[in-house]
This record gives sequence, structure tokens and C-alpha cells, in this order.
Amino acid sequence: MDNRHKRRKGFSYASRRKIFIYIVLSLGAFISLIPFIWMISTSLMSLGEALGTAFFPSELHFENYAEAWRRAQFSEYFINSILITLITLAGEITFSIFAAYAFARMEFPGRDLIFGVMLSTIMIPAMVLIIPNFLTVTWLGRIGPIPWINNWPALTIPFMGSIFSIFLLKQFFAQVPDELFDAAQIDGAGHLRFLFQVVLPLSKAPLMVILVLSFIGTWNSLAWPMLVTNTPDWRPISVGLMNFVDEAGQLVNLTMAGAFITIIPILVIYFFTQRQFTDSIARSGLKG
Amino acid sequence: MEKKNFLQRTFTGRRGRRLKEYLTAYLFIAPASILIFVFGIFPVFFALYVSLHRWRIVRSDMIGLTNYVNAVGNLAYVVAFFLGLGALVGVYFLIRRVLQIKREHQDRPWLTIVPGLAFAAMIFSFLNWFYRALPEVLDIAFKVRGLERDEIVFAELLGEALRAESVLPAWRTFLLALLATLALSVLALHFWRSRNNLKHQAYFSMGFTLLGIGIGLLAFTLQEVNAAYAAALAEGTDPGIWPQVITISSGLILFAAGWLIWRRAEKQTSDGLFWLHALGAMVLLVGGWLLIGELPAVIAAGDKKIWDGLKVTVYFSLGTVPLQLVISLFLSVLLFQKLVGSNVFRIIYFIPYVTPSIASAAVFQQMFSNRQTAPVNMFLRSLGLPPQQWLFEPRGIITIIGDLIGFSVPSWAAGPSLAMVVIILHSIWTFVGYNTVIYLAGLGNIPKELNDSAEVDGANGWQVFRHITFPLLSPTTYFLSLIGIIGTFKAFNTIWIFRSNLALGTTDTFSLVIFIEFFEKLRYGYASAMAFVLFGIILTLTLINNRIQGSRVFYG
Amino acid sequence: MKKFSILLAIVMLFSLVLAACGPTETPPAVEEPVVEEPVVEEPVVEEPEEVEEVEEPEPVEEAPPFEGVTVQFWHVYTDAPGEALQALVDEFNDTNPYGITVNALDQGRYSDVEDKVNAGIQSGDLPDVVMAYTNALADWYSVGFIADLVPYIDDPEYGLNVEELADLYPHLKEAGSTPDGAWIAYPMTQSANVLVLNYTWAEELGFAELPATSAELKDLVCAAAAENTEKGGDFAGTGGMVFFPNATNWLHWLYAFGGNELNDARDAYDFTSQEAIDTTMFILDLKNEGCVWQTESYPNPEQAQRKAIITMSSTAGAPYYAAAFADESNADVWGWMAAPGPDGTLAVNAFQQMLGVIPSTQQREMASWLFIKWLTSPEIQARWIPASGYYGTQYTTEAMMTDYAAENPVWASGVELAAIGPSEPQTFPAWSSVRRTLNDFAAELYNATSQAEVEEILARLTETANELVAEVQ
Repeated sequence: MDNRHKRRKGFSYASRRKIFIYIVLSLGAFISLIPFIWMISTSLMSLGEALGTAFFPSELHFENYAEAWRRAQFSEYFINSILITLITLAGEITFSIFAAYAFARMEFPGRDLIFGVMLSTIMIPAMVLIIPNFLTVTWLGRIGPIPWINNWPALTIPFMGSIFSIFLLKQFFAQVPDELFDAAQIDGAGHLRFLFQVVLPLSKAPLMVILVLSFIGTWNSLAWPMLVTNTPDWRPISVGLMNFVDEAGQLVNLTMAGAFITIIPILVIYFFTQRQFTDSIARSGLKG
Repeated sequence: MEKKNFLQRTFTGRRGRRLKEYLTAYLFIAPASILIFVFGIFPVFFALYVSLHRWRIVRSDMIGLTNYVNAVGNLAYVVAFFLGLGALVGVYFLIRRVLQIKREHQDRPWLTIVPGLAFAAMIFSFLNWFYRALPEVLDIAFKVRGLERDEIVFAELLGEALRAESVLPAWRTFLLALLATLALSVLALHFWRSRNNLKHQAYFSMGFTLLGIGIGLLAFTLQEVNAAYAAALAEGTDPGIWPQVITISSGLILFAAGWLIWRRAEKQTSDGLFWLHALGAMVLLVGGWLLIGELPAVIAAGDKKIWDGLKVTVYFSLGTVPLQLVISLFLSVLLFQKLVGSNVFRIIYFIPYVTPSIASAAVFQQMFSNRQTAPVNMFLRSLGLPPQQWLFEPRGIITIIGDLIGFSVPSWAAGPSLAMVVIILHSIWTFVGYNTVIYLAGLGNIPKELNDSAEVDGANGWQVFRHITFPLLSPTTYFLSLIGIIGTFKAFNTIWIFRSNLALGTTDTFSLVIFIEFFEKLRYGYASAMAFVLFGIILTLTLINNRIQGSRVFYG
Repeated sequence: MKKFSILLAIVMLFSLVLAACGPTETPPAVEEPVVEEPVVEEPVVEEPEEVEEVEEPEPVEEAPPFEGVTVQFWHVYTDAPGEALQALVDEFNDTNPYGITVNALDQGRYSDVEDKVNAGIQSGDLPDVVMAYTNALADWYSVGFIADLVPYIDDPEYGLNVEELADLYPHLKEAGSTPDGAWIAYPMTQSANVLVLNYTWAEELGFAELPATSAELKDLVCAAAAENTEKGGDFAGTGGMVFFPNATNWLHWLYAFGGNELNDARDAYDFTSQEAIDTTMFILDLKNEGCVWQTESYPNPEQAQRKAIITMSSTAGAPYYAAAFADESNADVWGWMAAPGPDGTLAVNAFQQMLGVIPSTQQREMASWLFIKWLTSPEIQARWIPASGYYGTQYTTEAMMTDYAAENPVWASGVELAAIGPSEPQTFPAWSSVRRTLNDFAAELYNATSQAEVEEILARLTETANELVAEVQ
């Protein structure tokens, strides 16, 4: 394991190290995947088998997926979820970029105080937020031009102001070297141009992180959408999953099939952003 | 035309440019801040309002600090008292800061006191309006019974509520104060042309606001204490608040003083060192002894659920956060080796985080079922160990292990219940992937040259990691541990899914206790008070964490 | 660019200030609303009576025309039952002579409905008819957000006539009425928590007859447990009764032992009765002999695998049992029975799926009632039952269901059981909170080791329950 060893048998050490790494990584992957495999395997069982203890289905019930899709009204909810996610993300990313830039690179009275107060909202226990926010969206809908309840604003606008995203972006924006800013200023670029032409291209990695994390958050949220929707018109996909649970039992196989369907889009998104993740991190050359 | 001229005049010159910069910055943060204030901070004030009432489904009487006293006993008075004092101490520090700037710049900032005062007046008149308008708006839900429930009725009722006798004057006062603040601020800017003008305005604004809060809080606490004494007198008992306040205060002060002396001793040269150390230690001990003597008695008068909940939460935090950090750091370092297929692993590790908790919890419940044939019990049996009850098991894990090896564990060392252990494992399983991804982003930010040059210097992998990678990752570690601790303190969704009454409350974290009070027992007032206690605890932990860890974080 | 951003800043600020000034722009009208305020300031508990008083002077006023009234109805049914319900509602909308339109909306599970109504109470955003369990309706009634149906049920024109009232199972009026006589929950259907028994296995064990007393039941489940212990392997530790200690199941047995939750005067909770102690000691006895055990989820598969001879379930769980037995290819005959007490008293824990009306104008409330009346009328109920698997609320419905009962013997056996009752004291003050507390206490009781401890826990339960009552009063 030490240096002498390494120098003497460089190649075999390297390959043994690789094997070791692969073993560890595979073990981790295995543990991460067991519940997931279980989920897929249960999703292919008949109800009785799913209620039992079998690990693998004796016979593959692919029709569970069609059944889950139909029963959870996924064809309707899927589009809703995508719309909600897109609107939320558009607002959240835009607002967070501007706010993070101002907090990271501009000076104004009360900056740290405002940021600190906003940051402290992360620590507020979530259950006290539900009722006042419900009141707020109800009343905003009543006095505003469009209804909020049972409509997209109640499902998206409250999540557009995300201190978590602002915090993450601020950390990255603050690391952009000052020299770049000075150079841009000499070129006559204002804050907006500097932000869009210099800072943002360097910040792909955190933007991707935010994209993926907010996507997951919006995609999996359940309690709030249920509270602010009365009809299926704007209900998201997670609500559909609850259709398989009632007070007398749970259609476990369909729940699992439905859950697997809902995960796929997130994995696809993650898979695609993932490349840019690595690339932009490697290319950006930001200071640690 | 004139307006443009005015604009041009205002925004040229150095002062003008700075003003423009300020305005642009405010514009940049406006959308996000407005949303966060509406959906993050307004609810806090709302919850504060709720917590001061008896509120079961609907609002009933205002009962002051009673909910807090029910939750944490007389500690509520002590904390309210200290918060008031804290605000005053804040005022002191602000004044010191102002004086310091004044000395450095030879300023005469006294003119800016005026807009500062106006600002504080504006804040308080706004709070006053809020306090008066909120019940009127809430009562609309009552008034609407017996009426047709449509938008016009609601709009009319809102108009009525905002124009009510007590509300409208408050609103006007606020507007007046707002205009006065703006006008006075501009005037002050005009008359005292100093770079530090706005800074001083901001300091004085904060100072007066804090002063108001401090005095208000102290007066309110005093009134509440007196009311408690009056009530106790009527019953012929002694609430004993003052002795407790005094004992705990002096304990805290001594403790802090001891700490300061000790710290100072560390910087001292040799001669006084020993005595200072001894003195510091003694003061510390006395303070600590006072606290230990008094606090448990005060706490015991509160709600037992809270302290049980806190204990469970601490188990949850300590069981989850360190372990998941270590695992994910390890995995991310391995993944960062850029091996073939590391992307695949990366995606696999992320899967648990994106799995809806309703599904992953169902799977965990099956795996950790109490059935003999459940996978984990099968595994235990293959190792020759007895199957366990898992989520139904209220006994502590250390007790169970102790029983297995024939060693009886005292009850205080029982550890988290086996049911809690399952929840901890689920939490680790869920968040390792997330932490790994963030760590990878952090690793990507470390300049490659540093590692390379270190390796050229002959450092081995562990040394590079220990002395370069890990310190450079400290901001990430700090961030993740903070997020993790806050997360464990706030988590309730999955715990609620996992919760079995057979575990006899050993999985009820503080959040879960609040959740149950709120959504099961519908005690909104009491639950909100508890939520503020939790908020206070998280905030304190974060601040302590900031001081301890923050000073060691290496922002290279 | 610079100018643009500045201009934008100004415009934004301006619009903000304008928006902030909004409410004051309209000059204060003559302060008429003030008259109402004292009413609002009064303690909330009194409010329901207030509402009644407003209504009562005019219930027999000229028949309110219902043309164009839209009633919003929140329910809990999705999927096939949801579609069946929607079909019924559509039919009502097309055929009702009053011109009422009902907008039926699925709101998830019962707990979701409760959360939504609780939030709606804060904002005034509520439906007209809501489906919930009685204890939730009683909670909302106590704060003035559920209407008393008595004026509507008694209405000469739109109400129920004497025969119709007599047709309703007698216990249902009491089940939906508060102690002060307000009828706040109208039953849509019924269900019951019952014991599910594997008849075939019981016969094999030599128990040809249903256990008639708790002692016989103990012999049966312990015999089954003994058999499985003998089998060993995966069967070790199974075989008896799956008893999950929660409020529903514990109360079920308490009823069988002849006990109930209230004191003799029926004005306070009292769990310290001898019956409550006996019930708990009976369960603890079964536990200590290894004849009861728990599963983490619904115990249907265990029953189908002969790992439990008796389980406890809602009658609504029948499809899940059928699926589990079918999957195991287990041809055993299974069915429902009531829990037998030591003296042969039979009891189930009966539940009703209740409809409540939320206060609005008299016209809307009456329209809501007319819909409820139609939905629960025997013909409609007889069509709803096959779709939902629940039980009817009227004798006429029962008579109409004979064919269905003949085809579904298990369902048929439940008809009598649901009628045995009793039900929980759903409208007694604070029952919703007490029953939730009882869930935790039931687990604590199950972990007790001595009768003294049981008595101590029951005393603590009684105290807690009565504190909860004090809180709502």
C-alpha cells in the first residue's frame, strides 16, 4: 500500500486497486439497488403474490403497468406534472440567478441581513407553513386576476423563491474571480452582461444541480398539491400513486408499478444533465 | 421630460452610481425575496400569532405565553426574557459599530437618527396593522357561513375586514410612517452628503427596531410573569419563576464568563496561565453546576413528549449524518477516479434519492418485517442470530445487542430503539446518493494541479486525501452536515410512514411530535408554539455549528 | 441596457407602492359591518347554536327554488367506485326535478379530506357536502362548520316521511347525532371491523362450530398456533390470531366483553371499567401463550398461507382477502364472524361512511340535503353497494339486495354483523382526538406485564381522554 510498493509493481498495483474500487462500488450499487429491484419485481407480481413474501414474481404481469397507468390517471397527471415542473423551474432558476448574483457580487445596504433572514427560513419546521400558505394562495386567488387554488399558480409560484437554490448559486458566483469582473467592466459590460456572458456559462454545474433537485422536489410533492387542488385538472403524478391505497388495503403491485413509472423521467433528466455536470465541472476550472 | 432630467441627475456622479447599483441590486433580489417573504416569512409571523392563542381548528382566546409554558415549563419565560435582553445587547453592539465608524471617518452621523427612528416606527406600525388585520381577515371564514360562497362575497368581506374600525387607522399610520421614512431618508441624504449616510441610516433603523423589540419583549414577558404570579396566587401556589430566571441567568452568565476566561488564558503567557485556567474552570464549574441544578427541574415541568422527542431526534441526527457523510465521501472519491462505467454507478447511487418515499418505505417495511421469513430476518438467522421485531421494537439497539452477548445494558445507554434504527438506515440509504453528487461537484472544483504536484512530491493517495482533498472539501462537508442536521431535525414524512404505535413512541422525533399535535390532535396553537421551540433549537445548533465548524472550514 | 434596468426598477417600485396603497384607495364606506363584529368576537364554541338560531325562524319558509344551484360534493372514491359514484351523480344532475347540479370531486383518502376541510375552515374555502367519518364531522360541528340536518330531515315537503325514517336502521340516527340532539352526519353506507376466520382449518382442528365465547376462541387460536409451532420452519411463531393493537381492534374486543368507553352517567370517558381490564388481560393472556402476533401490513397473505387462523379486518377488505387466497391457490373457506365475549356476547366495531353539510345559505343547505336524500334512497343505494362493497342503511335496501347477497355469500354474512354493532361514541366530545390517543395506549397496553400496570395505563388513558374533552369545551 505504500509508495515503495507502488513504484516496484506499478501496473499490478494499479489494476488491483481498480479491482478493489470496482468491488466497493458494486457493493454500494447493490445496496442502493436492492429496494429498487424489489420494487420492480413486486410491480410485476399479481396482487396476492405482492402481498406475500416472494422476492421474484413466479410469472411476469406486465399488464400491471398498463393497469397502474390507467388507474392512476397518469396520462392526465403526467402532463400536469410536466407543466408544473417546467413553470416552477423557469421561475425558480430565473429568480434565483438574479438574487444569487446580487447577493454574491453586489453591495447594498441590508444585504447580509436580508440574506440571513431568508436563509433562516430553511430551519422553520414545515408543518407550520402549510396553513398560512394555504390562506395566502386562497386570498391571492380571490383578489388577483386569476384563481390560484386548483390552478397552476398555487402549485408553482410558492416554490419559485428558493433560498436553497440562491444559496447554492451564490456560493459559485462568489468564486468567479474578481479579475473577470474588472475586465468586463473595462469592456463596458454592466451587471446583466457580466452575469449572462461570464458568470452563467461558468455555473452550469450548480444550475444542473438545482435543475435536478427542484425537478425531484416538484415531481414527488404530495401533500401540498392535494391541499390546493379540488379537481384532477392540475393534480400531479404523485397524487395518482395514492389511488392504490385505501383504508382496507393497498394494491402493492400497482403502487410499485406506478412508483417506477414516476421515477423514469427523473432518471432520464439526471442521465442527460449528468454529462454536463461532469463536463462543466471539468472545464470551468473554478477555484475550490 | 423633467423626470428624465431628474433621473439623469440622480444617477450620475459617484453617489449616483452607487445609488443606481443599490437599486439594481434590490431589483435583482426583488422577485425571489418577495416570494420568500410571502411564503416563508409571513407564515412565521402567522404561526407566532397562532402560537399565542388557544387554537383548536379555529381561533379562540389569546393566551399569551401559555402554550410555550405548557411546552417547556418556566423556561419559556427565561428564554423570552433572554431574547429581550439579547435584542438590547444587539442595540449596544450596533451603537458601538456606529461610534467606531464615526471615529474612523470623523463623521457626524446624528442626523441619520431621524430616518432611523422613522424606519422603526414604520416597522412597528406595520406589525400593528398586521396584528389588527389578521383576525379580521380570519373571521371572514366565519362570516361567510350563511352566505353564498362566491368570489364577490369574499371580495366584499375582505374590503370590510380591511376597513374595519381598528384596522384602517393602523393602515393609515403605516402609510404615513412609510412616506415619512422615505422622505426623511431622502432629506437626510440631501443634507448630509457622506458616503456612509445610508450605512448609518441602516444601522440606526436596525438599532431602533431592535430597541423596540427588546423593550417590547421584556415588557411582555414581565406582564406574562406577573399574570402567572397572579394566577398562582389565586390558587395559593408559587410558580417560582423569578428564582428560576435568576438562577438560570446567573448560571449562563457564569458559564459564559468562565468560557471567556479559559479562552483568554490560552492566549496568555506562562505566568498568569495556571491561575487564569483555574479561575476559568472554577467559574465554569459553578455556572454549570447552577444550570445542571436548575434546568432539569424547570424542564420537567414542561411537556415530556418534547424531551423524549428531542432525545429521539438526537439519535436520528447522530445515527444518520456522520455515517452518510463518510460513506458518500468515500464513494465520491472512488467515483472521481474517472473509471470506465463510473457514470453508471453515479446514476445508480442517485436512484434511492429520486424514489418516492411511499415506495421505498413500503419496500423497507417488507425487508425489515417482523416475519421470520422477511429478508433481513432470514439474513440474521443465517448468521445464527434471533429474528427481530424491527419496526415494532421499542427496545434500544444497545440493549438488544447486550442481551445477545449476555450483558445487561443500563437503561440510559439503551440507544435508539430498533425501530428508529430502521428509519436511520432508510435515511442513510436515501441520502447517500445526494451527498455523493454534491461531493463530486466539490471534488470537481479542486484544481487538478494541486493533487498532481503533491503526488510529484511523493505523497501517497491517503496523504493527498488527508492533507489536500479533505481540507479543500471542507466547505462541502460543512454544507452537507448542516443540511443533514437540519434535515433530520425537520424530517417527518417518512418517519410518519414508518411509525408503528407498537414502537411506543421511540420513533417520534420532535418534528413528528409537532406533526401529531398539529394534524392529528388539531392543536394548532400548541403545535405552533412547539414548532418555535424546534426552530429555536435548530437555529442555536446552526449558530454553534457555525462557530465551531465555521472557523475550521477552509475556503481555499 | 443600463437605462432599461433603471426604468424597470422604477416601474417595479412604483407598481409595488401602488399595489400597497390599493386597499385604501376606496374611501371607507359607512361603517355598517361593525354590527356583525361582536358576534365574531364571541367564544367559538357557541357558534353552532348561533347558526341554528339564524336558521330556525325560517325553515318552513316558501320552498326555496333550487334552479341553478350547484352543490360541491367532496368524496373519497377513485377508480371503479369513483366512476360508479360519478355515474350516479350524473344521473341525479340529469333527472332531478329541482334543477340542482352536483359537482362530485374525489379528494383522496379520508385523512386528505380532513386536512382539506381543516385548512378550508381557516379560509372559508369549503364544499357543500363532505364525506367523512362521524368524529371528524363532530369536530367541525363543534366549531360551527357543519350544519344540523334536523330542520331539513323534518321538512314536510323535502324531508323524510315517517315510513322513510322508520326504514333507516334505528342505530344510525343515534350514530349521526350529537348528545344535544343535532343530526350532523347522515349515513351513506356502513361497514364493520370483523374477525376473518378460516373455517376449513378450524374444522380440521376439530372446531366444527364457530367459537361462541372468548374462551372457545382462545382454544381455537391456540390450537392453530400449536399446530404451526409443531410445523416449525417458516411457520414457527405463527398460526394464531393476528391482532394489531390499535383503537379499532381493542375497542372491538372491549365491546365483545360488554364494555364501552364512557362512564355510567355517559358524561365522561372512563376506560377503567372491569370490562376494559378483562379485555386487556384476555389479549395479554393470548399474547403470553403465543396465540396472537402482528404483521407490519394488512395480514391477508398470512391468512391465506395458514399462518393465521383469525385476522381482524374491515368488511371493505374482502377483495384483498379473495386475492390473497386466490394467489396461494388456497381453497379454504373463509368468512366473517363477530368477536365473542366471555358470556357469548357478540360484537363488531361498526363504522358508517357519513355525509355532512357545510353551513351556507338555507337554499344551498336544502339543495345539499336533497342530493343526500336521493343518493341514500334505497334504489340508488342498492346500485351503489355492488360497486363499493359497503352495506346499506335501510331495511328496504336490504330487501333489494337478496340476489346480490346470494351471489356474494361473504358479503351477505356481513349484513347481520354490521347490524350487531356497536359503534364508537363518534359524536362524544373530542372522540377524534381520544381515539388517536387510544392507538398509542392500545400498544402500551399490549406491552403491559401485569394487571396492576394495565390498571395504571387505563387510568392514565381515562385522565388523558378527559383532558382532551376539557380542551374542546
